[in-house]
Amino acid sequence: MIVLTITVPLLFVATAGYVLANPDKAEKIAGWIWRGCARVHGAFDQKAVAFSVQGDVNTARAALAKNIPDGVIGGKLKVVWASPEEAQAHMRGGEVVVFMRRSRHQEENIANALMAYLPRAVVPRARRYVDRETMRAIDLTIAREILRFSDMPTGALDMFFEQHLDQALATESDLRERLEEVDAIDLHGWLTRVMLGEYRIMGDMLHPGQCDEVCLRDARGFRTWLGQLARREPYDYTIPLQYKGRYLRTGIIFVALRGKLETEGLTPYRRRAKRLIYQEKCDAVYLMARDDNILAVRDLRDDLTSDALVENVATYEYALRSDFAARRVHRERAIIVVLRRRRVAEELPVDDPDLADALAEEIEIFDPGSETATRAESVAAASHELPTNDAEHHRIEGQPATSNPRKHGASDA
Amino acid sequence: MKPAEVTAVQDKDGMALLDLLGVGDGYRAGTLRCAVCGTPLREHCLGAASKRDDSYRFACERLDCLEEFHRA
Repeated sequence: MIVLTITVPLLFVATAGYVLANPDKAEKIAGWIWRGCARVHGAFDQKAVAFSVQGDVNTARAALAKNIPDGVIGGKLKVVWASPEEAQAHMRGGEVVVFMRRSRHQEENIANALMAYLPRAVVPRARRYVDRETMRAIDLTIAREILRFSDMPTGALDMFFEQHLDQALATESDLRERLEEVDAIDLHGWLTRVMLGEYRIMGDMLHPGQCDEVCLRDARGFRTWLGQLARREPYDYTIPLQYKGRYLRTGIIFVALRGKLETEGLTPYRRRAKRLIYQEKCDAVYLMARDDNILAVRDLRDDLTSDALVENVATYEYALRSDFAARRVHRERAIIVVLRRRRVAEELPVDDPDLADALAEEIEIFDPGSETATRAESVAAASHELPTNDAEHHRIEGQPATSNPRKHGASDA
Repeated sequence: MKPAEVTAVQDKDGMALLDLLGVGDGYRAGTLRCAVCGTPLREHCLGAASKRDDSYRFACERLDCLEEFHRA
């Protein structure tokens, strides 16, 4: 009796604590319980479906939304059941109604709910300003990530993609290419942190205005540029590290050469960042590094935070996708720091010693019209590297400036 | 953050909804098709429905069809 008196309240408190601390996982567990009940009586099936689907999608959503910019992934999924009459009324009001199967068809139900949820949750305001093919590839990539995250056995997941997506991939080569491109961007962790972050800001800037050809071209060009950077081969220095469109103007600085950091410190990177902000007027400058160089990016961030034209700084540290090591190079973690440029009071401060040097450097620009690199002046090669292994670090370090293949590539362009 | 609500109908109510919308016979006869890929919609392959330009449209369960349907 005494044991019961202590154990029952303790269990109750522990359960309440778990639910409060892990609402999404608790929803999943509730789904399992209701599914058990549904096997006994069909009346519980709706609850089983709603809790299971919400639990799976929202748990995956919480993992995806960790360490990404605000507003990229919206609120949680909530399944609202409707009677046939209510469903008809919703449809008359312009809503889409989804059909759900019994709780034992969990895969189909998740996929169905997910495709209704994503347009409402992923950069909802920016979607209309992004070209259809790009947004389609983004939705399908995120859907795949969420499905991968759910409890589906691998075999079932493979079969599921075979049945649902591979037919489309076989018949639409463009979709396959877009999906591969967006997947490559996601592999680096840039899909939610760079691409969708920039799209969201563009959406906020343009909303509620009409979409035009310029913003669609900008979105497409930005995707192409990031895709090229994500898929570039070792020693390929032909992809510019700056994108300049009408609405999207960003630059990337990879901090990757440990030898350079040891000999020159952060100075070349600091100069390049200043040039991107002051001269090139990039609205966002992304500082990126992996594993051992993460510390250097943190230092660089701390150094640049006080700059007069840096309005705000955001830092995202994250684990790389599990297949990154197999597909690219053995790295586990990455950091992205975003420096956002202040849009008002852009006069150059007169007492910045780095600025004169920084402005004398030259830079490559990605032209969304031709989708090729154009040359502003010449190349500041030092800050453009992201080698894929340590051996490569040393080889690049050993090359004289004139033999840098990037210089030749840029000149050709 | 505001939740994203998805209105759903369970398959046990699906036939009643289709009858209410006046497409039940077409569904049973196999002439009701997916608005995206054109596949006849049969049992257990209804994905979503909406109303546009005074007519009801339906999509099958394929991921790419649903994506296209929700975007349209």
